[in-house]
Amino acid sequence: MNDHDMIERCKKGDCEALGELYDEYREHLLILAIALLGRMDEAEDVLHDMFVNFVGRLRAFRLTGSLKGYLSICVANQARNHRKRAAYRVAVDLDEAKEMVSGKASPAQVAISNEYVQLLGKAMSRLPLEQREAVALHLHCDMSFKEIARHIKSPVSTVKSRYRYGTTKLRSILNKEVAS
Amino acid sequence: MRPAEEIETVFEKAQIQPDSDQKQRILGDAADALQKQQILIQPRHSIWRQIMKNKLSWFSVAAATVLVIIGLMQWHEPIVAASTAYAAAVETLKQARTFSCIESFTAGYQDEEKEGTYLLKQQFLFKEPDLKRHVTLTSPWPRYVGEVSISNFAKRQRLVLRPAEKTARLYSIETDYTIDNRTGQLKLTQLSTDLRDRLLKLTQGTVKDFGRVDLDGQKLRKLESYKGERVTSMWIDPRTGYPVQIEHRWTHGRRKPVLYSSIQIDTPVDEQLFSLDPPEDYRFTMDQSAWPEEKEKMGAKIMHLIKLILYYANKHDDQYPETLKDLVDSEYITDEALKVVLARPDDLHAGPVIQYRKPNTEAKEWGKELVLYEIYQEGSAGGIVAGFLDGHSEIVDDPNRLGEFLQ
Repeated sequence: MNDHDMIERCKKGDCEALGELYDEYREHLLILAIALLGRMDEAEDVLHDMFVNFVGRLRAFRLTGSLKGYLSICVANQARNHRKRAAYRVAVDLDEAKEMVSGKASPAQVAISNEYVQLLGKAMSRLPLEQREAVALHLHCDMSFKEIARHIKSPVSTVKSRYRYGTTKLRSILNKEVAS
Repeated sequence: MRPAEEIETVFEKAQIQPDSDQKQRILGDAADALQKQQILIQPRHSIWRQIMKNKLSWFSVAAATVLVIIGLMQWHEPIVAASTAYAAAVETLKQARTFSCIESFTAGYQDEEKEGTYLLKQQFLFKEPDLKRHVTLTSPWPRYVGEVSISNFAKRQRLVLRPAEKTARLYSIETDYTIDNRTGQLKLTQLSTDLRDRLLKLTQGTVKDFGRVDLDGQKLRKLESYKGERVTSMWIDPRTGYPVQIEHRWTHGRRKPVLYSSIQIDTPVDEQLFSLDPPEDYRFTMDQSAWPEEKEKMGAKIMHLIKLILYYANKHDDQYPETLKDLVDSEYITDEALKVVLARPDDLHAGPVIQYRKPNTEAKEWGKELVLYEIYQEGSAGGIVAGFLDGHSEIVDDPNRLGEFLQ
């Protein structure tokens, strides 16, 4: 079933089509969210909110390009908003700190993702969000610099330089990780 | 190899297996959202037109409408969707300017004589913008049972009453500082609405409706929200829509449940509850132990950094940062804000005046394990402020003593 059919069935309230759409893109979007946020629990929250918001707007939605690309941009936007909200949440009391500890990936969560997911989250979390966006959208979502620039409303040259700095730094981080 | 090739490989090899619980949660909420749209799409006008054509249908519908309205008046709460009612209850917390509740959870305690667990119950009451009252309802130590702490941030005073000893002690909070983590700047402490705000952070998951339940003789509507590993039960007064009781529990079992009961929102409060006048039969004293203002400021900086260091250690399996830059790398604070925190309160451009020492967690006495200390400089004749691993800070005025801590 192609993306258009899937969307039309969802619009008619077909929950089975909704499940198919979710199964189709879940892993791709979750990995993107982990790359952008560095944490499994936050990535799951972003995927949840993005998917529910997307379905909530479905009535007025018209697919003009690739659904995968559209959903990837939705995840990137949701991740950016999530980061803004969470940026200084550490300025709370110690009780909150305990909650943050419990927010770490549980053994079950670790079990369902392989070591590359852990490595990706860890390495990407050391880059500024803008660089993560450029790297992940280009390498993971196969988006051109022009497309990324249009979606994040920045010049193409800025996206390119973010990508260049990001990949250089990531390479050095990954080399260290592998060496250690 | 292209510069990005190995990064691409990591992306390609990253795999996440399906998680049925997660799928159920997301699709459950998405299906709700989809259902709402379907309701909106219904072509209501055409149905209405058909009804108006036939007199018998018109009367039947009118009668049914009256019955529905009567039903709504009597049983209106189950008709409001569970997720809407839950969201509305959280919204009332957001709007609350006067808020009180009793927080209860199982806490551990330890002193030289005894140790164990007990049910810690404490009552919070605040009235924006500057009044707060805290009552310790239970404690393993009899002297603290019933302790009342009243803070007036406009008058910058705090009164602590201990009914068990019949003592009243008035503290000045004139120089009580805290740090704005975003900028690193010092600011005077203000009324904290953390508790209410924490309850607000409980983002809604899938909501299940348990209908009417009995709670202490009150008929309340019970809803449960499932978000990740946290289950939040909320008892709502159907007449007001306000939450009366909230309980959090975690399916992983690593955290104990926390109960917020007797929640009152914007109910009239007796101003006497915030009075700073001690009861007549209490022995009254004024606290004289406040530090000089400069030391209070330095103490606030050091305590703030200790808090961030503890967050860091909590998140990194009890590994403490090698340097304070690790706090920046882990995004607990920005580089600019850290510079401001480390600087002299009266000269932000004079360079850092606080030194970090990676603590030894194997040390027997965490109260003597130095973590942060003020660098000795001109004007330090009154001693330097030092922060320790157990989370306390003190003024060290003997250089030899500082030397011992540093060993």
